[in-house]
Parts: sequence; C-alpha cells; structure tokens
Amino acid sequence: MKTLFSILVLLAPIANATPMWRGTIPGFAQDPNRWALLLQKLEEKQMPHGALAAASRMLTLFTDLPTKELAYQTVIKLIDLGYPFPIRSVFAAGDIEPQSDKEFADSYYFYKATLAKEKGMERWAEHYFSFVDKENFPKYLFYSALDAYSKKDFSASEKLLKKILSLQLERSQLGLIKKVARTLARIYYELEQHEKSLDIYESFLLKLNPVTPSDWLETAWNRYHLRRFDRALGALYNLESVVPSDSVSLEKYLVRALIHQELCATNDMEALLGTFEKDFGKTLSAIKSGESLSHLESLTTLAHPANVDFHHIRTSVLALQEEQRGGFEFSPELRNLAEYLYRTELAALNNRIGFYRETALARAADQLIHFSESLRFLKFDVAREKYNPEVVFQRKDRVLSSLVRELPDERFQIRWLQQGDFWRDERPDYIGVVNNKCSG
Amino acid sequence: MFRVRLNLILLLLANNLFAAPPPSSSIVEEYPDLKKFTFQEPHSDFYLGFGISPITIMRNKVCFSANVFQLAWLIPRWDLEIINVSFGFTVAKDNVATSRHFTIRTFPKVKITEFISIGPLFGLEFVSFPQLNARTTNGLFQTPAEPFSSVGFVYGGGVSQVIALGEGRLLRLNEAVYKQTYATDKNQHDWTYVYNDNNIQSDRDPIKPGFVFMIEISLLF
Repeated sequence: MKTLFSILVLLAPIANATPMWRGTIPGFAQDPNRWALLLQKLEEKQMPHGALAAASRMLTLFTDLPTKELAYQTVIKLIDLGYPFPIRSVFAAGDIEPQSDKEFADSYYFYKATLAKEKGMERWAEHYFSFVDKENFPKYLFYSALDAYSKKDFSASEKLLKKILSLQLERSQLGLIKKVARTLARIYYELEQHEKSLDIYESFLLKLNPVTPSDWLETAWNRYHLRRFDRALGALYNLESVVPSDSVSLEKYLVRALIHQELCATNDMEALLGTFEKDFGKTLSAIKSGESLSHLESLTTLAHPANVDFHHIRTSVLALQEEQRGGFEFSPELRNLAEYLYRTELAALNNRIGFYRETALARAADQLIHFSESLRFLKFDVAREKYNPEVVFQRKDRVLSSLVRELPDERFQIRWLQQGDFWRDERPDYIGVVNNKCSG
Repeated sequence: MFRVRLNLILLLLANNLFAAPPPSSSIVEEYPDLKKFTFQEPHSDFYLGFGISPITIMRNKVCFSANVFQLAWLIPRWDLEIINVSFGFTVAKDNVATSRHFTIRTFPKVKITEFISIGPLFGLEFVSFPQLNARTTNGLFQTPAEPFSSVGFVYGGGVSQVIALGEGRLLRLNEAVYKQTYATDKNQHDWTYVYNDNNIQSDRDPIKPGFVFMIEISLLF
C-alpha cells in the first residue's frame, strides 16, 4: 500500500504535466499528397536542398507507407546525385520494408545497416546487411573498400574499388563513381604511386563538370611529389576562381610554400606570405586581441574535419536562401506549402547552428593560428635566405612581357592577363612561372 | 663466331634488363565506361556546309548545280538555312538557251517532326546565257552586244530532312520548288534587251524564267 502510494505520488506530476510548447501544422500542410506533389516540383526545378527538407518533413509528419517510401527514395536519389554531407540519420526512424524495387531496397537497407553500425548496434547492422546484395551492390562494395582503407589494407581496398569500376555504371551513380575514383587515387597517393594517382585526376576527375575543388588540391600534391612544380602551381591557381566556394582550405598556401622552399624562391615566398596576410591578417589580429569570434566571417568558411555538422547546416541555410530567392514557380496551393517549408526549415536551421557555432569557430581559429605560426617559421628561413650572398647577387629574372614564349620541339606558350573567371577548357593546362634559384 | 654470338646475346639481355617498362594504361582506357561521364563540349547550333543538286528541272531544261557555301542554324524548333550560295548550269537542246545561274538564297524552316522541316525560300538569282548575245537600247542609245545576263528574285518553298551522321555532322536533303523572276524584256534601268538571235528576239520562250524543282543533298559540319 505504501509502495503504491509512493508510485502515485511520483507519477502525479507527470499526469498533471502540460506541454511546454506545441507546434501547429497549418491545414494546407496536412495533406500528404500535396507534399508528394511539392517534392516532385522541387526535384523538377532542381532545388535539391528544398527537396531534402521536404522529404525529412514528410518523414516527421506522416506515418503512411507510400509517403515514407517516397521520402526515402528522394533522400537516396539526392545522395546518389552527390549531396556533399552525410544524411544517413534520416534512416534512423525508417520502418518500411521495401520489396518490389531491388535497387531502392538495397540502398535503404544499406543505409539502415551503416547507421546501426555507426551507433554500435552490431546485430541490427548484421540484420540489415543480410538484405543487401553484398557481391554486386556498388555501395556495399565501396563501404567494404573504405573499411579496408581505414585499416591500411590498401590492396584489398584497391581490388574492391576496381571491381566497382568494372561494373555497368549508370549516370545516376556518378556521385558514387567520383568517390570510388577519388579513393583509388588516394590509395595510390598513400602508396607513393604518384603517376597512377595523378592519372586518375587528370584523365577523369578533373574532366567532370563540375569539378570538386579539392581535386585541384590533390592534383597539386601529386605534382609536387613528382617535382612538376609549374603544373602544381597551375592546379592551385584553379582554386582562385571567382566562382564562390563553400569552404576555404589552408592547404593551398602550404603546397605553395613547400614549392617555393624547394626552389629557394625567396621573392615568391614573400609574395605568398603577403597574400596570406591580406587574406587572414585582420582575422588573426582579431583572434589574438581576444575579439568575439562570431564576427569573423572568414572563420566560418575555413574547412576543418571536425566542423562537418556546422558546415552542413551553414551550407543548407545558404542554399535554401538561394533557392528561396529564386521564387516558387508553382501553383498557388503548392507555393503556400513551399513558402511554409522554407520559412520553418530556415528557422530551425538557424536555431540549430547556434549549438555548433562557438565550438566550430574556436576550432577554426585554432587551426588558423597554428597555420600562421608554421608560415611564420618559413618567413625566418626566407629572411635568412634573402641576405645569403648567393641570392643577393643572383641574376634578376627576365620579366616576361611578350605574348608568345617559344618552347622546345616547335611548341609555344601564350600568356595573357586573366580577366574574369576561368575558361573550362584551359583550366587543366595552367602553369605557374617558377625558376629554380637554389645554388648547386 | 661464338664471341660475336655471345656479344649479341649479351646485348639483347642488356636491352631487356634496361628497357623501359611498358606504359601503364590510363584509368579511362582501363575502364572505358568512365569516359561517358566526362564532360563533352556541346556542338554549336551553327553549321557550315556544302552540297550538290543532282536533280534540278528548270522549266524544260535540266540543271546541275552545287552549293559551295551554306550557313545554317539548327535548334530544336527551327532549321534555318541562313544563307546558301550555289552555282549551276543548264543543258538545253538549243545552245542559246543554255544558261548559268548563281543563286544566293535563304530557306528558313520550322520543324514539324525531329526529322522533317518545312518552310519558304527566298533569294536572288544572277543568270547568264553565254551563247546568246544581246544589246540593251534606250531610244537612240545602245550598249555593245554581250552575252545576255539578268538578275531577279526567287521565291518558293520546300521540305528538308536532316539526318545525324555522328561526331557533329549532319546530312540534309532539300526538296524545293521556286519561281524565277529575272527579266528578259527590260533591265532594271528600263533599257530594252535586243537579242542578236532572231528566233529568240521573236520568241523569248526558251529563255524565259519559270519554275524550278530541285533536290539537293548537303553535308553540314
């Protein structure tokens, strides 16, 4: 009796509890068919971030199987198209059992399995993997290849990646194919087979449209190791394109610095340090003087491996705003729904980003400070080298002013000032002007 | 002999030892399917071309012509032959009626199917009859006798079929009918033609303009 009385006393607050807040779904957003139409329109109009938001919302709002299946199919389609951030978490609440569409079923169970594995639920992972065609399903083979790669079993990983590339591949799988080719290139890079690694970038990855910016950087690394410094600088030049990029990598400064150091190019090194100062000088001063990091916009664009969630939300916010600015060329009832979706999604994301912002900015600031210190040490080398008699009395480089420069074997090179953005067919052929100034 | 043979064997062995390794194939050669994912520059909608007209009937004469320059613009809804320059010559029973034609025309067409398009034809035709001399007179004035030549607009219509040959090349078949309008009585300055050939002077029918029916095959690239 006493125990029962204690239990009742404990449960009383719960029984009397009232919700702290309540979300109201407007009437026009309660029809799953309307959401399905909106999803279709967003895909047609090439608004992928809106489509992802709509699919996630449908999974939250509705419990009927056709709506869930449509939402998951959309998510899988977006992943296959190359959505740049991991979105497997939407599969956590998935409770459908797709049977008819084998490709969809394979993908669905694959993502369920990888999510379960990530969360340490090994038996659930095994259960979901049992529904996947492990011999031929490319995503599973890639997953196994990545697993082998992480364990440094490069030969097993290479074998699996080559098996994927030899399958009959469709354009809809281009996102996966790029990852496979890139991973293979990175394996060859790790094995110091730089020619083979470079070939994958030059003959395939850099010939796609659009090119992933990091591929230019990885190409530059390969060319650096092969001592093709002029072509390495040319690859890095592509990162200066006026087309805005989501994030900035500090590695390009590092590769340039290493090249200039190899060639004892003191003037070029000074110019590089000047560029770094111009790009980040104010940010560094602000960090060192203890200013609030939230005002430093350049920190939000710095790529850091631990800031994936922050960048995901930030990219989604910017992309949704961009899509929203384009207007909704839909019928009036769909336009209402689209406006509601974008408004609420942006509000939620702007709220969420606050949880990640401080930590992400602190990490980025840390990274920037450490990097600037590394460059500062290089600056001491430069200063010492500058007053080396062999450099001081070095013959000055002839300034190239002519349009055409003749090369051996009846070839020639044309030089002109780059105005505006870069021409697609020229981008693989840029060359940096470098001269080896090391004595001996 | 043995020493020579031994040296030769040693030389061959040395070559094999120090021979450069065979060049490894590129990834797109090893996996040719990857090539289809790389970006291919789209072909321009503008085409240049040339062709021949193996069958042309010009009134009651057979004509052979070649179009030496064509500029065309092909887009999903339109097949616009912007300019077509052709030379031709006729074969006639009567020598004086043989003629040469230089035609500049435009032939804009709308596509009624992906393959077939239809439209009007307009142009300018310069014609000369090398075997027929004529003078032009105006009152008391006259010009020396020269081979008769005239100019006039052409107008008509036709049908085209376009076949893709691959690698950005197209084969176009034109079937067209047009009317000639060059003058045989007076020129554009109102001077009268007087022909040296009395038969033609009394009956200009062999040299009069008329309808032209042509079939033309062109290669566009």
